[in-house]
Amino acid sequence: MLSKRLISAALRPLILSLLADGPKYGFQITYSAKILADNQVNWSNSKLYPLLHKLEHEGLVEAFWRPSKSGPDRKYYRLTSDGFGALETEKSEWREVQRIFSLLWDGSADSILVDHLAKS
Amino acid sequence: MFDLEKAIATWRHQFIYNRLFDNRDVDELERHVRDHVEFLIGRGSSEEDAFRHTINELGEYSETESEYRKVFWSKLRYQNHITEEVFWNLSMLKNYLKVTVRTLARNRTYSIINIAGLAVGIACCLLTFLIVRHEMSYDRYHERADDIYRLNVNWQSPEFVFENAITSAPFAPAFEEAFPAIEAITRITASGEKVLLRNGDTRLYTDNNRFVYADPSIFEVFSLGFEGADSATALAAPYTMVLTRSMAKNIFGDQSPMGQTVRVDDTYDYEVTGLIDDVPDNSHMHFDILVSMASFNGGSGPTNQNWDNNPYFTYLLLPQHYDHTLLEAQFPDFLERNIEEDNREWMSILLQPLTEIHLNPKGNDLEPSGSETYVTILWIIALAILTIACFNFVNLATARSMTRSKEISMRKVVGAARSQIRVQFLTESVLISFLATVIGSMLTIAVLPVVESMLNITITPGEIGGGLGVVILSLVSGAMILGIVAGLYPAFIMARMSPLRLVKGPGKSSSRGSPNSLRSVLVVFQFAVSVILIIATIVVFRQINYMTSTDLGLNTSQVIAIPLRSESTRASAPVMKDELVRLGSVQHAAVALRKPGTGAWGSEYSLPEWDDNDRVSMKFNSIGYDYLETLEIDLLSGRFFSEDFPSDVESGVLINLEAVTEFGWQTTDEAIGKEIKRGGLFRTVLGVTNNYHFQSMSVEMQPMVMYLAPETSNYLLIKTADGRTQEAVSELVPIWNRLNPEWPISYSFLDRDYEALYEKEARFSQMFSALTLLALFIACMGLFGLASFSLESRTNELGIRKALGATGGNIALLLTTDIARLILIANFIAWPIAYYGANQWLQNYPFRTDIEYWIFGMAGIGAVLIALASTGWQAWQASRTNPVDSLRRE
Repeated sequence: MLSKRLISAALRPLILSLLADGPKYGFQITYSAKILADNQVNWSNSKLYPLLHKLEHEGLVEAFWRPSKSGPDRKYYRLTSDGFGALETEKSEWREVQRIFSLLWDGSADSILVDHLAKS
Repeated sequence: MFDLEKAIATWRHQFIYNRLFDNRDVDELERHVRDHVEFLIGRGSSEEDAFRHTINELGEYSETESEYRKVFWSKLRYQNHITEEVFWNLSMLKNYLKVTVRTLARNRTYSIINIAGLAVGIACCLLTFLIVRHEMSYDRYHERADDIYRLNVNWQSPEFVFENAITSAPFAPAFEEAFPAIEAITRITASGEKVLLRNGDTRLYTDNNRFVYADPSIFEVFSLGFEGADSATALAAPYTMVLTRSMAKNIFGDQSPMGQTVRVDDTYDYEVTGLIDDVPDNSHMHFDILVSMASFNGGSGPTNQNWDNNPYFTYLLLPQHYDHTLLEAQFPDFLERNIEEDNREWMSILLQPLTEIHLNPKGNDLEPSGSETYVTILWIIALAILTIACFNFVNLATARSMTRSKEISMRKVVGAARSQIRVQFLTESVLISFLATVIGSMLTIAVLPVVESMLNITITPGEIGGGLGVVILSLVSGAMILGIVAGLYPAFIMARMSPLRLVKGPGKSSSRGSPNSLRSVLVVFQFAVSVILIIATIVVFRQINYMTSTDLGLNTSQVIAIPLRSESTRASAPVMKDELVRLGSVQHAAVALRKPGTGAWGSEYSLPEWDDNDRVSMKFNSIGYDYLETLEIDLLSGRFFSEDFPSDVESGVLINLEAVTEFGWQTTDEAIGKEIKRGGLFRTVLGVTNNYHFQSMSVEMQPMVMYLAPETSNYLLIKTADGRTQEAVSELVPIWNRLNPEWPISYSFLDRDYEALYEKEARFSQMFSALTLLALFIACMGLFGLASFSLESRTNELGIRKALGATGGNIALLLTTDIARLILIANFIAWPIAYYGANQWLQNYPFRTDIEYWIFGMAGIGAVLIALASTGWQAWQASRTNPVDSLRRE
């Protein structure tokens, strides 16, 4: 199970990524995330909607309502062009993080550091 | 049977009154719940399980609320609703204010206790602030006050340390030559006694020490508001003087004083060369007349070669922002170059900043000064009183929480957030604090003249610092901070409680950390402070009483002291003495160089058989015949001076018991006939007197040598017959006027002179008593308020107890036992602290009263009785209540 601290850090890129392939409503986002993470994501839904609202206030997503058969309407969110831009930034940042950890964990970090020291 | 729609409706309801969620937010959350529930039902869950699982995953209400709060203001900005929110908050503030005013009006006792207590506490703090500002404003009126220093000479040996404010004359010229960094240096020395001034028919005396000799450079160092031809030369020539404007008016009326002459002590004519402003109250020295230093010593000026004679105060003006320690570092070399090795062994010289002189007086300072210790103690007491008042507020607010629990729970149920409850309570306490500040400020203005007269000071608006705007701003921010500090705990307690607990009543728990136990702690603190103050007041009072009523070794009552200011008045003293004694209203009369109570000059004495370097420091006085009878001083051995032995004047001395010990003689009889040496001169000890206090009892008993030298006397001391003092005064005035037509009579009563020595302690005692009474009063008001709330909350319990047979006495006992227990605990905490503080303070006095055990008992019993008196009336009322009345409320 992923820790709450990690989920909090990853929530923003996760939501932007999930919205990249089309509009989704809150439960869909939660459900998709859980499936993708093989139920290793145990987040509190109380964080999801305030973050969606924040992204909306920042202009990264836009919301629209669609009527439902029973109960209140559904609120959908989709990425704006700024949102796609923000997603690209997030991707490059997380890839960089991934690259650093890969170097550290596959044992090639030491040789890079030694080379660097020799050159300097 | 579980009803999903009903469950969702109930769940949704909790959000609808919370401003953090608008309807669309709640719709979105509900949609989420429905989607999740449908999904789980599709997977085979029951409706109830699906709903519970969904709600569980959604998180607790408080958690959701906290997350939505984080984006609340960005949502308002996004929706352009900021202005509406601000108006809404303002209207809520209006609502809080309205509720506060209603609450205050409805609970008058509570309001009066809180507002009056805080107002008195604030007034105490404001008055203390004013007094402290006044004490710290001394000498700051000089333009370059921060650059002026006084040269002090310290004498330090392994046995003693004496910090002396006076220096010898050569220091100033030698300093000027040795240290070019000094911008200006000036010396002053005061006349000591009163001086007679005459201009035509106008004759008047100055007060003691108001006739001051000064170097011409005094106007370079100090800002005195000089008006005249040239300040640099105004005091250069002998027999020139500069008058304060008031003194000039007293002598010359509306005439211009410039260039006119004033005859001083019927001896010398001084020319007026300038005028200066009157010296303000907040100055460490006061004078009416400055005369040229060249006029000192009968016109011969200061003895610039004599490093041993020390009557001068020396002041230096250093360049702006100059580090005076750089100068001090060069002083040891200076002493080595200028002072003989024997004399400088224990000597060091230091610079004391001008602005610190008043609160840190040194030996031989001219005027009674302030004390840093007293100022600190005053601050501590004022803050303790304000704390007691704040604790009343906290106590009463938490005690009242149960009576307001319904209001708060209703607010919470209809959606008030914790922050709103906190803001409501803080608004209430800030409003009370504002009201108290306004009343406290008015109280301060009303009481200030009384305090000024009690402390004999004048506080001017300039001393407060800043203008009216700064004062108002400080008061407003002070009130705000006080309100927030006092209201913080009740606000958090009330906001934290769940509506359910509020409805049940939060005050019924007495577990650790609950408001009830906190109330007990605060009451204990309040009464511990009160008991400490009671004990301190008793100790200070007893010490003053000890100093003023202990046997001084001489009898000051019915003794009149008349200063003899000239050769002619001295010459008339024997005639006057004879005439007065013949009248019958006077029993004895004697002359003396120094008046008892004013101390004496010192010199070094030795015995013929001692080495040249072995000397002991002793005080000396010149006295006339009948001195012992006039002051009723006991003669222990030998005889007093007698006219039958003319050689007494040349070769005899009397010493006191302390001197016998200093010389190492075992008995007083052993001293008789022995020779003592001063300089190269020998004298024989004729008699030994008992020790007597010739100065304040705050100074240790010192050895004394008495010479017979009536011709050098400065005072005529007259002992009147019992009950005939007024008659003696009315008789001696015409005799004096006949014998000394040029010298108006002035006299004082010796017992009053001695009382004046303890003026500082007496003022301190008065302030202490007043502050103790206030502290007790505020603490009791708080207790009264607490008791009335406690009674209100226990009405039913008391009704049941009475119905079951409890007597009125049982009820009263029940209600007062708790209070008595708390006061008892307060006593146990206060006693050791009070003992330590009192003991430390008493160490300042070589002659001191004992701290007796009964003082603690009395303070303790007093505090219990006062506390019971303030709660007893309510206990008595409760004990008389008909149980039916109280139970009918159920």
